[in-house]
Amino acid sequence: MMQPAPHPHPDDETLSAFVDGELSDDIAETMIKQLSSNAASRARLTEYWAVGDALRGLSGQAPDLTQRVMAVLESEPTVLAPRRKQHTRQPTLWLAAATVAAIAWGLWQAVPRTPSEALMAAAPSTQHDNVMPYLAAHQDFAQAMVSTSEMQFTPVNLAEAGR
Amino acid sequence: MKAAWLLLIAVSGGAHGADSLPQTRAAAWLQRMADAARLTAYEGVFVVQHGEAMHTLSITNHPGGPLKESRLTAMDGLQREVRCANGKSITVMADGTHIKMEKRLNGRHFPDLLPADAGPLANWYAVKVGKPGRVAGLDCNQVELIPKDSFRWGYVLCAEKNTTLPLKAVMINAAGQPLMQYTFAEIKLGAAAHTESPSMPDMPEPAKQAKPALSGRIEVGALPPGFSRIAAVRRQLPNKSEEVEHWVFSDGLAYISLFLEPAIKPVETLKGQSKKGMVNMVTRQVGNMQAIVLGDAPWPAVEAIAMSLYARK
Amino acid sequence: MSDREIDLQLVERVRDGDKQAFGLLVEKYRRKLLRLLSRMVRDQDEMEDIAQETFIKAYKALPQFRGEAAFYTWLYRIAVNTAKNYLAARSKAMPTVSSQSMGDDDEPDERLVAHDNNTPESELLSKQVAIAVNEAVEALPEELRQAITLREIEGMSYEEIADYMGCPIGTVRSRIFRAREAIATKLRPILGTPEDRRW
Repeated sequence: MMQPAPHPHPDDETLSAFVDGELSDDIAETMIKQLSSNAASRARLTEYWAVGDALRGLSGQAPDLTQRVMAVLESEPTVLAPRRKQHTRQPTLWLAAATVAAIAWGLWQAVPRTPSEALMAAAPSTQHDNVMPYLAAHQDFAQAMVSTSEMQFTPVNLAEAGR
Repeated sequence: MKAAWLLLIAVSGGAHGADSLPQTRAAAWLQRMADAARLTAYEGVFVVQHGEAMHTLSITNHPGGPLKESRLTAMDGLQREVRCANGKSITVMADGTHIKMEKRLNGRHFPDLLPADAGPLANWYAVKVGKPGRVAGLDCNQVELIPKDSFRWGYVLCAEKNTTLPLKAVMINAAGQPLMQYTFAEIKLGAAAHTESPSMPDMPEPAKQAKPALSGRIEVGALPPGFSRIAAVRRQLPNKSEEVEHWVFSDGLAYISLFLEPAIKPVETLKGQSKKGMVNMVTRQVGNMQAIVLGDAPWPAVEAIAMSLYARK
Repeated sequence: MSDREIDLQLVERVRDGDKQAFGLLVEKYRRKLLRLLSRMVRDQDEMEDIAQETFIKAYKALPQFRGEAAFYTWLYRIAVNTAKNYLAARSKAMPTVSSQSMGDDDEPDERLVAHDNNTPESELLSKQVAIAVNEAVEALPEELRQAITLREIEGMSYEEIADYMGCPIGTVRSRIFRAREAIATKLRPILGTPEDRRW
């Protein structure tokens, strides 16, 4: 059944940021609260999740799975459990490790063999363009983890003595 | 697997108690775990975590011939497979309706973290065998690899009780904080022997002649103890039109990359670090080249390599 | 609020008695879970049955979910156990069925392209979705395409993307939103508006 494409509402951009985990806690909490009573928001949210999945090669198998699950749960007793204490933001196992991709740059006056801490001058906001390709190549080597190709290589002749 | 038991008894009963193993025993443990990863047949699923990012991969390992054959498949994100056999490695990706295959540089990945000749690692890492644990339903023993200097990160492995195959590996910093973790969620040891179908397709061999070094007169003055250069190639990088030269240094466990390319404009010396410091990076100009050194190693190692680069006259 | 925190908040809402919130978690993870199960189980119907059972088990076990692992990790473990039990029960009835579907060497490349265990209907749907997504992405202006790719494929944060693309974070947010809307618009006719399939 064809329907005219709904115009994006101003709220939809907030929902989009919500999907990316980029809303502040208060706004995100408000968003979560209103989701339960706002079918249109829920619909848009699930659409955005579907877009992400589709981009990652996951397409629409079992489109009615959610309905089937919820239909079964209708006859289930509603889960009521005492509210847990506030979860710490950081997982208990990990003390603030972060994605390798987040590199903070700082200006450094190069003096060999001097402790680097003493030399970190500027605030770490200086940008370095295009760090990602190098990280990608290194990560593919070190962890076989990268999701991109285009890194063909050929051996290099370093035969001169002393190299 | 009697030898493993004897080793454990000796360690726990000996005078050293919680101390590190003496070097020869340490070397033996390291070698056993390295061999286990190559020679044990297994299939399973493991999870890689670094910070909030988490990836799930399935893996099969068929030890065939002198070197292993393994297959690693991404279970989330883009469909991608890494295959390693006979010292070579390729990545296989679906690109729309096409299959793309490309050669890779490194034929090893978790759980095969240790090099084929793993004994020498005991020169740079102290080994401590710790308490038993359980990972993916199998009993294992904790094995700590503690760096003897500040040039490398440590590891805590959980080695399966009988085979000593690493079921879990946590890269840790000097304060013992986890930087990255691999864990098997599910594993079956001794899977059925594989069929004769070749896992590595016939790929065109590279031109016999290696390309001349882009880097011309750039040399490394000194490397941190235990590190040597294990690769030097010219390669394409994603989103870059010109090739760069990529060298890799390693002590067998830690990897540090150097990228060299002609400096288009004067290169500012910059230092970079991932949050909480697992990856350290330096950019500087050496001769007429831009050099980027980056690796999963503490700052002193990256600094040492970067600052020792020079242009030969 | 990070994605992981969002999951925890949704779990809390379920525990406070809000079943709708569980429906959201199902919508969020069902495709990923089915992909996982497709590595272990060949039959489409079985996969869906196992997925359904997994979600129901997860709902019932929510009071025990401690939030130390990520919700998906926890869900994943339930799925693997459910699938194993399913396969074990079935292999008693049909001894020729192997429960070692992972790591089968016989179809090295097909796994990567087609879903070899689809029914004709779901395979058609998969193809339609793939075609629509490809068309939608190709039609995007370069900066929108780059932004959505860095976010959804490379998993970069807005800040990282802003660094990479050399633009303000607000621009990143807007570009991703517009790219998403454009793709969603192309997918809507195929997947049907979720209002049709409200739960």
